[in-house]
Amino acid sequence: MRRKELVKYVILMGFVLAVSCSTVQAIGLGVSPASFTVPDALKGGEYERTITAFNTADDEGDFELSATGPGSEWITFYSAEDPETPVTSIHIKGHDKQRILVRIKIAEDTANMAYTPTIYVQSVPPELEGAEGAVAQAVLRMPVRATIQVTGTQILKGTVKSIRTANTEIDYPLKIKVGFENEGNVIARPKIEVAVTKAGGGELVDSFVYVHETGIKPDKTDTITVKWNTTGRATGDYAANVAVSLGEELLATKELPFKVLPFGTLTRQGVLHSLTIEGEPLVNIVIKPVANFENTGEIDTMAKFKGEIYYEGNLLEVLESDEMFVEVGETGKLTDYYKITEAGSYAIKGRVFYSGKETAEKEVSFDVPEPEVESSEEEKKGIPGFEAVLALIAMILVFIVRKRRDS
Amino acid sequence: MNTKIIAILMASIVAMATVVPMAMSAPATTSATVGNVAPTIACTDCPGNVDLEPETMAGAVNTTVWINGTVDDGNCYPDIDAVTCNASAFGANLIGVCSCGKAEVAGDPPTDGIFNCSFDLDGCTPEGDYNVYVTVNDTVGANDTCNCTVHINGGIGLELDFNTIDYGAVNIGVPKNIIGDNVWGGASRTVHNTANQAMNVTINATDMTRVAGGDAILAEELNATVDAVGPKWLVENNTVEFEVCMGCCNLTNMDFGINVNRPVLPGAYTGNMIIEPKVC
Repeated sequence: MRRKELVKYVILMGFVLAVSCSTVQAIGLGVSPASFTVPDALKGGEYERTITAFNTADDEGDFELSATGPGSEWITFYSAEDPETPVTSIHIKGHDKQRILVRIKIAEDTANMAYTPTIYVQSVPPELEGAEGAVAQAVLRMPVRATIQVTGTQILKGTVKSIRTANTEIDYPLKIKVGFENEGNVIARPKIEVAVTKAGGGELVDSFVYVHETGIKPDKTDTITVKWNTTGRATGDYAANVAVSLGEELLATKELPFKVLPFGTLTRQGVLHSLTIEGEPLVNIVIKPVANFENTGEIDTMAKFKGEIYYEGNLLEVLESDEMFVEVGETGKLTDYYKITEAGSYAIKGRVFYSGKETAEKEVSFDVPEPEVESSEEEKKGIPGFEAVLALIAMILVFIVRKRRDS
Repeated sequence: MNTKIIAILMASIVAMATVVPMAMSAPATTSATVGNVAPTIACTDCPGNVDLEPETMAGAVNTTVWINGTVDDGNCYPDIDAVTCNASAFGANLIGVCSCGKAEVAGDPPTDGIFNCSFDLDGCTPEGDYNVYVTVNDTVGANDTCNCTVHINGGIGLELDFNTIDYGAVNIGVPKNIIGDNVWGGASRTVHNTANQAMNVTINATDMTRVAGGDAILAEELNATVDAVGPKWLVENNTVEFEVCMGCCNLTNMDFGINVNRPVLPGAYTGNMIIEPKVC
């Protein structure tokens, strides 16, 4: 009876192992938005839209990008992180997403009408090996419907979302920030006129005109920063009278009071949020330590990362980034480079120095494995449940051997 | 008589010595009442269109919508008590929380501030217009309101708990069916709608070519059933639609059949089955 129970137990455990080790091979793809429109598009005009593709599966994968239908010949794809290099496919890690820039360049001789191309994001199945019988591979394809309304009318239109400034110090430029949304169908280049006066309706100190030459693309919202040089100016209370116009139309005006303060009045403050490394730490590979520094103060500052790299607890080398200009409210990535020459345990400790101050120290540790000997064959992926089946066979063999020994 | 005069004089002197210093030393007081100025609010940054993040559609995280703007109070920023928001759609309040933060903007005079309001959307938030009202209240209850209309776009997505349809050994003239189920990760084939819209399922099949070359199983010899719709025979490089209208987050079975009724060479055959959602 005990042997029968043992047999049942072995078989049951083997079954449980086989099932638990089996992987659910899934594919998943989501795209947003499912459709978009480019209204009032001009012939010869260039427009951009962004779609996001998300890989919901565990495994990473490649996804092809294509477009069909009328107007599809105008469409090229780019990774949002590299808007200069066209791509026809993207690689997405498991449970991750990629933003895809869709650039639409309309031909000069296009007729005025609505064009409706369809953009496809399609999974690429892995190469099927060792197929027996008939096997079809499942492929997921997500359509994004586009509507491009081509018109012959140029529309120059925009809205000022905000006009703001903040106090500054002598020799630091006053920054006037204008939030602008382009509601037209051509690139907008708003004109910003600034008259700086002494506070209380006093004398005119300076006046200038700034034109945003780069321009803001249709359907885009951006912040235009206009600077006024305070070098040689007196400290005190001022007012900036700002007028924003587009073409012949005056869009908005605002009076902004501000102070030019003595040097050192405004708070210098910053936070080292994280210290990380980019690149996989392997022998003979260069890694990039990155210090994320946020300027939380009231004025722009220069910042530099200084740190030390330790190997097996011993100080190996001193690291130092280039000095970087970090504006108020912005986060700068201060970077350095280091080439790893030996396997082992490493640690990098450091802090950021800015305006005579320093942040708290941050640390990052990592291990570098011994270099592997390359094998001649590509490592085969495990067949789901194969290891469990081997374990089951091994258990059964042990039982048979013991039974024979006992008999 | 002289004594009386002296007494009167002395009394007068004493009185004057008492009253005059009091009159000269009493502080002069002034008073004034500053009237309350109602605050003003402007929704300067409203996202006209919002896409649900794909990971929201997959059920991983919510998508957060931000409404930003400015607040101003003629009695100075500290007189601003709170900024609150309310989001509603389709005539009903959103389930969830619309919350706001505010901060003073350094400047002179110190009246200006900014606010940031947000509300979260889950993966099944339907496409449509959502009205957001943001209200600023000062310490005595005076208030102002601005509003935004945010359009939530539709997303599109599917998941499969399989990546192959393995018909295995197929005999000529003998139909074979691979039955699916609606259990995610189970032994059979299941499709999952991860979009925030109801979807039909379409299938576009390629012929299955012989690995060793020289023959093919035609797409027209394959069929499929999705939920209770089918079986429908497939057509090479043409889309066949299964009108199942799966709701957001729903699962259903996908069955696949094969029936080769003509002579074909023996061996392994492979092909692709392109599965695509379509808004229903």
